[in-house]
Amino acid sequence: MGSDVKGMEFAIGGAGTADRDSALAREAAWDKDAFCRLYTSYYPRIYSFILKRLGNVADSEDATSRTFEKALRCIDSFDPCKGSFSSWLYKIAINVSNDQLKTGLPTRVSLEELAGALVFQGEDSAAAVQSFVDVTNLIARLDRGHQVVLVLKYFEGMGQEQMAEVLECSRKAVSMRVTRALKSLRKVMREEGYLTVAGGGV
Amino acid sequence: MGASLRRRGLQEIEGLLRAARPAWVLHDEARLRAALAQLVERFDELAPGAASDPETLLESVAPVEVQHEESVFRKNREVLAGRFEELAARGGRIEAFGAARPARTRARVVFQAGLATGLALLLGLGLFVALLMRGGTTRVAVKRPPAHPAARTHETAARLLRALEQTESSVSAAARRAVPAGRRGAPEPDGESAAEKAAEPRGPSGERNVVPQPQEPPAVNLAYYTLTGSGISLSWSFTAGAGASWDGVVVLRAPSGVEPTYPADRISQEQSGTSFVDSTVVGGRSYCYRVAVVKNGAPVAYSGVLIATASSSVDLSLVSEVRGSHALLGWSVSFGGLAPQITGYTVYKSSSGSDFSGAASFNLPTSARSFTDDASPGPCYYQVVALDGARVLATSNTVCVSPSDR
Repeated sequence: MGSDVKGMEFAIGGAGTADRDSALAREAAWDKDAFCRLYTSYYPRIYSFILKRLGNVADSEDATSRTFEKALRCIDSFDPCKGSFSSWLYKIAINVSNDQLKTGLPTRVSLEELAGALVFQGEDSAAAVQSFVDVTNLIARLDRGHQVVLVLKYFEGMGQEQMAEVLECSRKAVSMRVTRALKSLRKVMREEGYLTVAGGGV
Repeated sequence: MGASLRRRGLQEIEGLLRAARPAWVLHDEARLRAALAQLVERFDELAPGAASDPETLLESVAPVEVQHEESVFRKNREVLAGRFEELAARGGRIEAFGAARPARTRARVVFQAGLATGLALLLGLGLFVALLMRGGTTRVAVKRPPAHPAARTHETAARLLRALEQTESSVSAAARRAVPAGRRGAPEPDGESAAEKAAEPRGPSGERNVVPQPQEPPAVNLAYYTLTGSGISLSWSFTAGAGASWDGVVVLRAPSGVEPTYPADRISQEQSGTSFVDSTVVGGRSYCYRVAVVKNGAPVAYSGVLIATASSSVDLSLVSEVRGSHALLGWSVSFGGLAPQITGYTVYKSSSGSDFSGAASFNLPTSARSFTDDASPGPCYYQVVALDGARVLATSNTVCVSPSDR
C-alpha cells in the first residue's frame, strides 16, 4: 500500500457491544475513567461523521468536542431502553453539526483540508478526494434532513436498523427518507450538469 | 430498497455515493487527547453525578440528626480523612467514587421520601378523624419504624472506605505498572498476562481513577468485535500523530490468555482495510487478537489485545431403548451460532438420577452417536456430555432405564 500516515498509532474500534457501552455510560455520570473510555472509543467515529458533514477539520474537531461535552452534561438522560449509546451519541452529533451549519458560513468543502484527513482505497487518491469533495458539495445543497440521511447511510455505512434508532423513526420511514434524499440529490446534480435529464451520468 | 431505487432510476446516484466514500478518516491523536484533557478538567462541573472532592463527600455524609453511635461515625470519618491525606501525600488523587450515590440522586430520594411520609401522615390523620366521628373503637397497629438515618450514614461511610481502598490499590498498581515505553510487551514482573491487562478496564493513561496524562499514549486501547454467522468480525481504526510509513496491517491470533506475536500468530495477509472476519474460529472458544502494523515485513506498531469468544450453543438430546438385556442409548447433536469442535463424548451411568459425580463413565470418540450397556439389576440413569478437549460443551438430558422396561 505504501501510503504515508503521520505517526500512526493504532486502535481497534468499531461497533461495540451495546450492553457494555450502556453500562459505561451510566458510570460516566460520575466516573472519569468510564467517560474517558467512551470518549476514546467513540471519538474517531463521531469525528469522522462530523468531518464528512462539515468538511472542515478545525470546525469538526470543535464540534466533536462539543458533542462529547453535551453528552457528558446530559448523560443522565441516556436511556438504554430507547436505543444504543452509539445512536444516542450520533443524535447529539447531528444536532451539534446542524448548529454549526446554522451559525457558520455556507459550507464549501475544501479539497486541501480533506486531502490530509481522508484515506481512500485505490491508487488515484487525488481523484478520489476530488470525487468526495464534489459529492459532499452537492449534498451540502440539500436540506439538513436529507444531508444527514445520506451521510449516515452512504458515508458512515450505517444499516437501516441503527439509522431508524438515530433518526427516531421506523425502518420503512428510513427507506422513504433515503429515497427522497437521493431524488433531491439527483435534482441538484441535474441542475449542476452532473447528470443528463434522462438520468445518465455525465 | 435496491429494487425500488432501480425502478426510480436512483441506483446510479447511489453507486456514485458509495464510490465516493472514504475508506477511513484520520484524526490527530494529540488534539484528541488535548480535547479529552480539557473535558476531564471540567468533569466535576459537567458530569451530573460527579463528586470528586473528598471534603464535599465527607460533608455529604455528616450525621446531622444522628445522636447514638455518633462516636463510631466520627471514628470512620477520622479514618477517611487520614486516608485522604495519606493518598494525597503519595501523589494520588481521588477522582471517582463509583459506589457513592450521586448528590442529585440522593437529594431526589430524600425529597421523595419526605413527600411520601407527608402524604402518609395526612392519610392517617384523615382516617383517624373519620373513625372518631363514627364513634367506633380504634385499633392502632404499631408499625415498624423506618431505618434510622444513622444506618444509612454508616453505610455511606463504609462505601466510601471501600471506594478509597480500591483507589489506593489502583494507585499502587499504577506505580508498579509504570514501566518505560521500550519495555512495552515485555513480561510484567508481577506475572500479569497481557490478556489480563487487556481485559482490565483502564483510562487513556492506562490506570483506573487517575487523571489521564495527555502526553502518554495509551498502552492498551479499547477493542471491539462482532459475531457474524461466519466468524468473528474485527474492526479497527487508525489515528495520526508524528510520522511513520507502513505497508499494511495483519491480524494476529492466539489462544485465550496468550499474547499473539508476529509473525508466528499471523492469520491474515497484509491488508489496507479496517476490518477482518476470522472465519476459522471454533464455536465456544475464546481467542486473543492483535493487529500489527507492518513495514518491510516487520511490525512497527501493535494494537491492544482483544479477547473475543465465538459464542455457540450446543444441544445434546439423549434417548434410550431396551434390547434384550442391554440398554441402548442414542443421541443427536445440534448447535446454534458458530460450529463447535466436539472432540469426544462421555457417557455417565449412575444409580441416582441427580448425582453423576461418582458415576461410571465411558469415553467415546467424536463419531459416536450411540452406546450399548449391559443390563443392571436396578434402574440406571444415563447422561452424555459433549467435550471440546477437557471443556464440557453440552450436557444431555438424563434418561432412566429400569428392569421393568426390559
